[in-house]
Amino acid sequence: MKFYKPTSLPDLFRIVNDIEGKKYYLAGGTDINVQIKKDMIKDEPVIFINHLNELRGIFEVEDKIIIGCLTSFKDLLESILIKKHLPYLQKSLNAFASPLLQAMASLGGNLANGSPTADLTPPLLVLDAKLKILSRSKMRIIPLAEFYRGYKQFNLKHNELIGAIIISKQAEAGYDCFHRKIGSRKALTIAKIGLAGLKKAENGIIKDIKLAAGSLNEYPRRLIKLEEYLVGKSIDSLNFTDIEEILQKEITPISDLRSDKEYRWQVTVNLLETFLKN
Amino acid sequence: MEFQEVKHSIPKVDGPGLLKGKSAYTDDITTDTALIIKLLRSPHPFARISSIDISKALKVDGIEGIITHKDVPRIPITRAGQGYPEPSPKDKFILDEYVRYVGDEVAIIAGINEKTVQDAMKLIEVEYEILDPVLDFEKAEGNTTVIHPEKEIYSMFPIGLDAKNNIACSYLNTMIYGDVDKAIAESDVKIEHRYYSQAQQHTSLEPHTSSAYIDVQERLNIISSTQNPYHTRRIIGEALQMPLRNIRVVKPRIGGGFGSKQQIHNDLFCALVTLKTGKPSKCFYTRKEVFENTFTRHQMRFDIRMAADKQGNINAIDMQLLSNTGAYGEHALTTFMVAGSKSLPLYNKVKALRFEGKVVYTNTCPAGAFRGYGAIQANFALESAVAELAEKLKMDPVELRLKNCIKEGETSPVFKVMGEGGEGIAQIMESCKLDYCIKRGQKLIGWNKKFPSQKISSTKIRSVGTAIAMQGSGIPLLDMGAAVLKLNDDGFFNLLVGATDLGTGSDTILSQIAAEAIGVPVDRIVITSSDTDTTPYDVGAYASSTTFVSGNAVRKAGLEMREKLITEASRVLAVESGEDVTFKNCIFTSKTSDKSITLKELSAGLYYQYGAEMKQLISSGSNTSPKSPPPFMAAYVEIELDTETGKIDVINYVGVVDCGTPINPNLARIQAEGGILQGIGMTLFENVIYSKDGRLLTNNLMQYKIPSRQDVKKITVEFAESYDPAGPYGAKSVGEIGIDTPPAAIANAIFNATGIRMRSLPFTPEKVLMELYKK
Repeated sequence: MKFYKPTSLPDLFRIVNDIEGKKYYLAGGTDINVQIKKDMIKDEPVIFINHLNELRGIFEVEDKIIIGCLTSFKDLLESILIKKHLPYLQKSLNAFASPLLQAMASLGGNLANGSPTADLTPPLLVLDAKLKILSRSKMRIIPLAEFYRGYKQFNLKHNELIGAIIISKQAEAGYDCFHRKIGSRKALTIAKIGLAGLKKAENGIIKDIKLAAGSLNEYPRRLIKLEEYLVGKSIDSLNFTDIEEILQKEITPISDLRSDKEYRWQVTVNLLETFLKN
Repeated sequence: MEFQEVKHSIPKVDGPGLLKGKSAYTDDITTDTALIIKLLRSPHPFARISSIDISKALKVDGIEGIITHKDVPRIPITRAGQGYPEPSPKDKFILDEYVRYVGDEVAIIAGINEKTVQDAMKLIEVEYEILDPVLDFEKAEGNTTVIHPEKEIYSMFPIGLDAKNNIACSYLNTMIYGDVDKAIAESDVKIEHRYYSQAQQHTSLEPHTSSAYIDVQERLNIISSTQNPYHTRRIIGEALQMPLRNIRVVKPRIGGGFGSKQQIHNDLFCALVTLKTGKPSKCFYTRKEVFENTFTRHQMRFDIRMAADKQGNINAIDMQLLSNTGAYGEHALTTFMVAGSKSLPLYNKVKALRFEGKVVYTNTCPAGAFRGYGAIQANFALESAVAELAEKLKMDPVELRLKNCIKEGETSPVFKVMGEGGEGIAQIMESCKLDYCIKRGQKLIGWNKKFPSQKISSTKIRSVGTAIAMQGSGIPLLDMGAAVLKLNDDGFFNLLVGATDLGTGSDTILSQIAAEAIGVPVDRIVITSSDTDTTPYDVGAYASSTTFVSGNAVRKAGLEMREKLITEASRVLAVESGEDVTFKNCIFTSKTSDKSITLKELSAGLYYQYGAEMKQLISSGSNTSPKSPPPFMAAYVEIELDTETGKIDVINYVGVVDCGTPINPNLARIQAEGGILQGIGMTLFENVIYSKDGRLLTNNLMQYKIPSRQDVKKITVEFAESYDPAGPYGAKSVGEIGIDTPPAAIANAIFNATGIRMRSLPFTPEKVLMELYKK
């Protein structure tokens, strides 16, 4: 195995440019080290980035919060800025792993690992988070929802990496916010279901709604069809037969060691119902 | 009763050292030059090795030896680690041409480091004749597949071994009291149900580790994470046909055992490699091996019939049990018998009782000893059934238990009929505060306000449930422990015990007992434990024996030492008899004269100054007992059940425990708390899943979830004021009792919340939700 430790951000991009094939960026290392130990990563080069402090930090820029990709979950949990503008996001972070892993793991790494069960992706999806994607000569900004293209497949060129996560300061404002992680236990557990939602209603009519699910598809994703259906509906007279029919097209729960598809389906329906009705 | 040293919560004697990370465990203290041993394991649940070629592997640089079934003595043994003659079938060869579960050992490979050994392992060529496995324990008896076709296996006394029919042992027509069928037929209210419990894993923090070396006297030394060094020595001697004088077994610190380290694991592999190469060797299991290739709890199926009159007097209990011992029969009979003998006496007023059943082989991970040892499985079935009976009687389950449970001064016919492996010994409950425990726990949980349940939101229900339990304090007249005390100059004592501290704190409480008996502060005691060369015999740490059995041995040694000290002091103080001498604050004083001498002076005199009277003071005690006073416990749980997800949160778990005098209340408390937590794990979290082709899928801590600190909110443990005259300073043992109640108490709470009766462990959210929707 080959390891690289760039001396600076330009050095990083120089190294990255030179490696055509698959490679891994090691930030907190909480996923990659496990994968190396299990021989899931054997031959691909690994690039250390955790020391590149330009990629770390939480900043307020105009109407946005910008979170450097190396920012740890612990930093986010303790951030006054996040507490002030994105309290829902901050609360969602508690579902992640354990205090030890929260201190090590980075937000960028959690997204780039591409796990279908990533705890924070559903809340970030409903917050309409964007990714600032960097390469040697270019910077582009894409919605997080467009980042995933399949199981561990990303909208990312060989010479790019996630530089930062951008969230509007107003992303949560005025919404009823919802996030539930269903796992086998309360900490250090992989989600059987992750469900996040933002809802705005006036006089009992849904004006705006955003829903995202984790652990129910090949990657965490927004439930766009369901959102479209729900806008304009009266909360008191929601038709759950219709809702379940649409949901069936949006999620593909499976049976595995953690749970079974019947359970995943039923609990998703139950959680959704609770969120929509309250 | 007033005590100076016992009934005090002193810190563990090894606590600070362990906290500072001192080298203490087998893996820490083995020489760096030890050869590393790994096992090539079977990928098939049942197969015959038709050929095995190690020639390529032997050529790997750094490989020092590879051992296959062709190289080992063909002597059937049991790895159970029990007393002798062993009650478990002798059905295991160190290596065999048959492999009987996924992970069964095929070859032992030793080399200079882990990588070398792993490289060599890949080069061993094995051809298997794949055989049809038996994976379902309900289909094992009389199956066309015979798991143990070999002729050599046997049992040391009749245990009902019937290998042709895959039966490791059976227990029939023995535990019969009164006429069960008649008593049930004549009763007003009856229930009949079937319950299942799963093959829980111990998940002790330290993986199973052993190491070996040859010392300067050319003796085989084993350092092992074992709960019973003496049994380990005996089994190594038996398996390798070595005189025991050539073997020494030492147990250093252990990072948890919970019964899993009662069995022999890698000791024989290390012994073989070191004897063959003359070099030190070491074998440490990976977590995957711990899961797949050590031992589990016995999976069990109970069929219970129970009947009572309209007033709630329980007339009859009929318990039929099928137990799964996996590929080998370690503890097959004894866990089976404990299921009956440590549950049924709880309801001692029955007119009729029957307990019987069989233990079968399957091609799954072998089952062995595990905290609770049959009692937890039976407690789940029995205490669920009692709650089902209460429901049918329309009676408060607490009231039903109070009416029928065993009380101080009473006995049960079960004690005499059932021992561990054979007949038991009748005994009267000289200490039994179970009725107090039931009433006290009822108050602590707030039963009268909370029973059966309250809906606290549209999706959450809170409810309470209860169960009672008993265990034992060692095995009567089978378990024996011994202690030696030696006085040193400066007035301190070496306490040598064979007893095995596996993180339980027994080194600490045995030191306290010695100090109490001699009459000195506990800091004057330096303990050495668990070395077959230097410490006296002890059966080992299992069957909740240490506090009661070993504790009494230490007390005897302590009292004898005190007597000897006073004799010597009387001589030095020139008084007529020992009765004239008091011994307090480490000073001997004559009552009649004002003369005194300190312990320090006396001990120095005995070593250096008393001329012809110079001597080494040594005392010893050994102990076995016809009694095994059961600790008792009443448990109450409050749960919150989420109807949206089927998830159950334990809000509060109250355990009121009668373990006689707690020698060290803090250590007794953490034994009870730890047991409760492990029981909650078995009840709600610890799901065991095999693939259709017999592989254990829940073979790591990612998939096999044990509860985290956040999952159990509050555990409340209280001790009943109790004193058992047979115990050291009134103590009974407390290592296992804590684990017994959670399955039944939580099952009963789920019923009280929802009306759903869960009869198959564990109660995962998936199962609970499915039942909710069925309803």
